[in-house]
Amino acid sequence: MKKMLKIFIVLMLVPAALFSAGSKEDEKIVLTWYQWFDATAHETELMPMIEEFENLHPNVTVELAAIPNEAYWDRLALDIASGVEGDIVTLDTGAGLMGYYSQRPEGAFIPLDDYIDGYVLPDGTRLEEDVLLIDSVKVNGDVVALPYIMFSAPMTVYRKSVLEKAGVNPEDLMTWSGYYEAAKKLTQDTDGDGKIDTYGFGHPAFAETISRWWHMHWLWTAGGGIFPNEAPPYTVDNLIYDGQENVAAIKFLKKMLDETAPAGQKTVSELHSMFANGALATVQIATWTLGNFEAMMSEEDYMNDIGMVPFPAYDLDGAQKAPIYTSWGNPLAISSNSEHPQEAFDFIAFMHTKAAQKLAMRRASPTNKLVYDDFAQIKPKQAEFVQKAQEFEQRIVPDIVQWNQFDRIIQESIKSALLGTTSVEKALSQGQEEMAKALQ
Amino acid sequence: MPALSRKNRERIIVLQFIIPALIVIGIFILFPISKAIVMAFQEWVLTSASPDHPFVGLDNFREVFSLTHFSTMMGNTLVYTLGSVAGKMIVGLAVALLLNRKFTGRGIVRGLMLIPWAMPMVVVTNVFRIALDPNYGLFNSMLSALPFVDGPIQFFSNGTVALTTLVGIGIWKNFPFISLMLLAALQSVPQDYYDAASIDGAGNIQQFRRITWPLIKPIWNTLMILQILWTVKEFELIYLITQGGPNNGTNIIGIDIYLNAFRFYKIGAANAEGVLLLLFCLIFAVIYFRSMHKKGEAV
Repeated sequence: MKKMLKIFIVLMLVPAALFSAGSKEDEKIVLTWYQWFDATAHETELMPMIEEFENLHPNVTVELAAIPNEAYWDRLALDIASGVEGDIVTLDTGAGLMGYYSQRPEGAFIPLDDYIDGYVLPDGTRLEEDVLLIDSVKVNGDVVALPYIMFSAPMTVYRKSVLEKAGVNPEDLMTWSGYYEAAKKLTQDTDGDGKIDTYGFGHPAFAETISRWWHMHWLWTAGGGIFPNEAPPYTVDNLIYDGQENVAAIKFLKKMLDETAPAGQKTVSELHSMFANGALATVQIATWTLGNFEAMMSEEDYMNDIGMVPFPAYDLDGAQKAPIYTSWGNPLAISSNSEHPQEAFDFIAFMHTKAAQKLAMRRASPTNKLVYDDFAQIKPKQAEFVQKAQEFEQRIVPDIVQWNQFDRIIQESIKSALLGTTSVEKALSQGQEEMAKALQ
Repeated sequence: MPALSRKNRERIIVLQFIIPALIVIGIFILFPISKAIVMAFQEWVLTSASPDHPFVGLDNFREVFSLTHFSTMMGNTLVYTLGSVAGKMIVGLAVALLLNRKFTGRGIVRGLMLIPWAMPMVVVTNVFRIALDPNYGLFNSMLSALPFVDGPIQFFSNGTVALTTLVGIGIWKNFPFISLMLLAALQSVPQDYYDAASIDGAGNIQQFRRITWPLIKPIWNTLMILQILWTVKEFELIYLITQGGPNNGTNIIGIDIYLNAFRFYKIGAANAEGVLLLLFCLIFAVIYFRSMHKKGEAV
């Protein structure tokens, strides 16, 4: 009886073992991609590329973790701390990449140098040579992410018809003093009801997560910033936030705001809407803003009534300083907890194919150099923007673990100064004091 | 096996009812609170990458106390809580008294009154940000039309004005709840008392002082303590409108806890602030339970 029972058990176990072995081989690899992109981007850009990737790699499924933009960074930090972040993580080179990387002793993302080395995509793209901004995603000399899309900022856009009516030459907008005079002329009560209905300038005083485009260019172009040239060492002794250059820049911005801009704390979106409906004659934008204008304005206005000039050069007190720009990327990194790093890398590499990069052009600049001719044809204004921006010095905010704290300090101190809650000197000096504390 | 005494059997039955609730409370309330208290005394910084979290004594509390905006933050928390709770209680009572009177359309007005309370906070904050905008805000435009108002008002550009405005929005959002509760209390007061008082020649104010107030006072006190506990933890309303600015003029402890924990990843410091808030809440919780206990004894 016992023997019969043993035979029966063995007969039952053998097919079960064979079945389980077979199913392991057939088991699909599921990769989760953390990103904050909107539903349109999912539909028009990410899903078609994922589908194509899955056709080429039938054993891999890529799932999009739909995380809202405003919750993304909090969620990422907590998920890395809990060890449950996605296999593929979207980052931002100007939003404290180092902070997230440092959450694990050996780094939260794996080094990609060995994967990138000699990797050529089927369409001929060589990752080592053809992808822009790779140097901006290095930690201790290792590439820890692959820039997927990129943005540049800032350019001054203007409404051609409004400038023409006010008799303002667009070239006047290319220096600080010229911009001030032009903005004053453009600030008008056009219908004579006693209220201003066209403003010459707009600047966001509402503290938003990202300060690098909206405030930093004014500081950098005036010769200031947080650290000299935003280069290491990032020490307390090296802080220049309360320096005379920054004071001059914020005082100028305050003068512009008080005399030529809509009052109160406007958000970036509010200002861009005002520009689109003609209530604002000029404003600073990033590459992605053009996509918003395209959606908000009539095709005729978008194509014919928007002009673009470089960010103004500093020319106060007899000094001459060229504008300073920034280009930053949204790189894709692979979690150090990922069980399938090779497949994850195959996917992020695939997102740099010419086809994927062309789809990404809808909202951003591609990082694959080989598609820039197509970019100029498909998105001429964005391509013009990027081309003009490349003529100037590019700078990026310091990638320090305390960046989020710095971001908040910059936003709050400059907001207080611009709104007149406190003097410019005091606001920046308090800001520097808080930065020093954060560094210590 | 000896039979259990009746008392022990009853104890076991009671325990059977209590244990599931105790398990749930233990897992979802007591454990997180005790963990947060422990973390307040540990080095807990997400960006430090250290897997260990050594005990650092009172360092996190020292860090909190040494914040340049600590006194402003605590002052704002106190002003916001007291101002908001006082406003809500007074407006809530006034509206409850009005709605307790008979008039045509009373049912509709009672329903409409609940709209602010039922509105999601995100909607409320956006409505007020737009309505109070100095350029195109409807409310600001109406105010500017008044002869004694000089131009549009910048509601969120000055710390004191911004905090006062936020207190006002907080009152508008939450007074309906107070009104609803007090209305229920008012409706339980027998009409006979008022009839008798009228015969004795008591006016409206005397009737309120001698009849209404003593009878609704226990509910009022309970509501006030609960409101203090809820308001001191305010976050959404302020963060969505001013994010604690300008110049920390509207920064309250709830916002600082969020910033420390989720923006700056200083979990230890955030928990230290949480412990301070817990202590503050505990004081009022004790007052609340004592008042409930007294009320129970009186009944």
